[in-house]
Amino acid sequence: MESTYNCRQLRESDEEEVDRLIASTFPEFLGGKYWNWKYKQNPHFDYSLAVVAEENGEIIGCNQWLLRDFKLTRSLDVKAILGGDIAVKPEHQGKGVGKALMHFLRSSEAVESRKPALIYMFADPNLSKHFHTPIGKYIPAPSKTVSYMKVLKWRKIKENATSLSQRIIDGKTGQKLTNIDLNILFKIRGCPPLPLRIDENGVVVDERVIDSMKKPDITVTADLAALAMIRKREKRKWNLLKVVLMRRLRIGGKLSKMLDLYRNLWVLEELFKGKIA
Amino acid sequence: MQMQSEEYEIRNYQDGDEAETVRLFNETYRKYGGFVPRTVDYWRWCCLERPDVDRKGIFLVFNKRTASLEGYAVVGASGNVWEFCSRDDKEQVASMLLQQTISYLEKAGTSSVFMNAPDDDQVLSKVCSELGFSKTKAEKMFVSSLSLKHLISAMIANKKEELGKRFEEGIAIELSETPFPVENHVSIRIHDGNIEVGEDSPPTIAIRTDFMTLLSILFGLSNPYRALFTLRMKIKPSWKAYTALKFLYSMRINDSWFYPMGDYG
Repeated sequence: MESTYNCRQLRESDEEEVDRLIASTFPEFLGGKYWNWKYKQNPHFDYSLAVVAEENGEIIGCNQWLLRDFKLTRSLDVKAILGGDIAVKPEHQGKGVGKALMHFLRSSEAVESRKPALIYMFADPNLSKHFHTPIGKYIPAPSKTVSYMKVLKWRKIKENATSLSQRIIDGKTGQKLTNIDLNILFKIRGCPPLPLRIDENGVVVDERVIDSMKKPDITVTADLAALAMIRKREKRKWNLLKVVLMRRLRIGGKLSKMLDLYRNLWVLEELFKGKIA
Repeated sequence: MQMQSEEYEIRNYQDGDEAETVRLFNETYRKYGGFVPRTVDYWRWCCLERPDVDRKGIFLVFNKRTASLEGYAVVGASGNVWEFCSRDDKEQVASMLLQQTISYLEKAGTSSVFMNAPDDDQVLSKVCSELGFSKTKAEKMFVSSLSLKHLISAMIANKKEELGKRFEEGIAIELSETPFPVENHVSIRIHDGNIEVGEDSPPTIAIRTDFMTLLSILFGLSNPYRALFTLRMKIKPSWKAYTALKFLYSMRINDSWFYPMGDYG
């Protein structure tokens, strides 16, 4: 069934309903605490740049923009809009609510009267490609910004290993570990050592075994960027070859053990899927 | 806090430090575009009031002799370094701040550290490498326009003198594939050193292109000459093409852009 909703400016009386919407849409926003800080407590918050979509008196979506002073170049400060997060109730997603909210704001008098020189946002490139760019014709900013990362603990990998082992035991992976009994030591530059034990019961990360693992069956030495390259699904084999040839990834151990690992490579793919730290 | 050196001392944030941190931030990054210039109000919201930042996660390094602020870091329990500043060539300051950051996050049980920095900051790159950081891609920023008239007016205002001396033209830009509600026509009139945007006077040059090509040219991501040769742009009359390309080339943003993590929101 088609959604019949209308967009309007946010009102102070909408506060509780919007909080509930955010809690259901973005649980990672700390139950609305982060959202409130990001928007309502923001020195640039302005009710006229916040809109909601309403259906039968119920708020089903919201979007807030922030007018900021922005350095366009070293010598040019302009007014710019930071396009904020769009929240749409899960059951109304994919029905054009987000697009309608953006169009409502884009054509609003509140935006036009402030004469912003540009609009910008931070987003996952995939979301931007499929949602923001078709609507707003965004281009990547001319950025010279890099990110530095250091892993302090392999907590996420440990969680992944526990859940993967459980899925293997429950037979939910669709694949089995066969004829494998391996100790692998990952030495990733700038990170703590990552010792993995893979056998037919699954995979375990146990940092306590590092000392006893004087001679792991396989040692993988790499840096985080090389690891990131081979974690990508696209062109994985080509990337693997590239990082090996560039000596940014080295694999040591007996050939028979490496073949064992190659036959069960899906375990590492599952283990390193998503966030790793 | 323990980390000390003969020349510098490090301590946590104290009330009233923000005037100095704001000054240092704006001084450090003034050669870049792409960020929100700090004011005391903005800094307090962005750093002090951020849900995952505790005052114990804000470190400042001072010169012991002059008592001047040499650098600071705002570190969240999530592992994100929301702001990081150290004066140019102050390797020791950057190292002290990052070591303190790592020690603080290790105690907090955080599993990783992330920090944004300008790609051309060699000092920070060296220090990060020594401390075991790896360089990864930063989160992407995307830009667009809600009104080309406002965008071009702002860009021209900054180069008015230069453009006014070099050109004497009426330029009409016709755009295709503009997003709602951006205008698909912008006129620029340069006459006797004055520049007006939006004046519908008879043009001496007509440029036809699509919205994203023009935006890419203005933001320095694409070359107007290339756009012409790949037929993504047409210029009439053709004998004015060189003038039009020179004009577009002079409009381009050439500065590097840097945004700290704090600007994500």
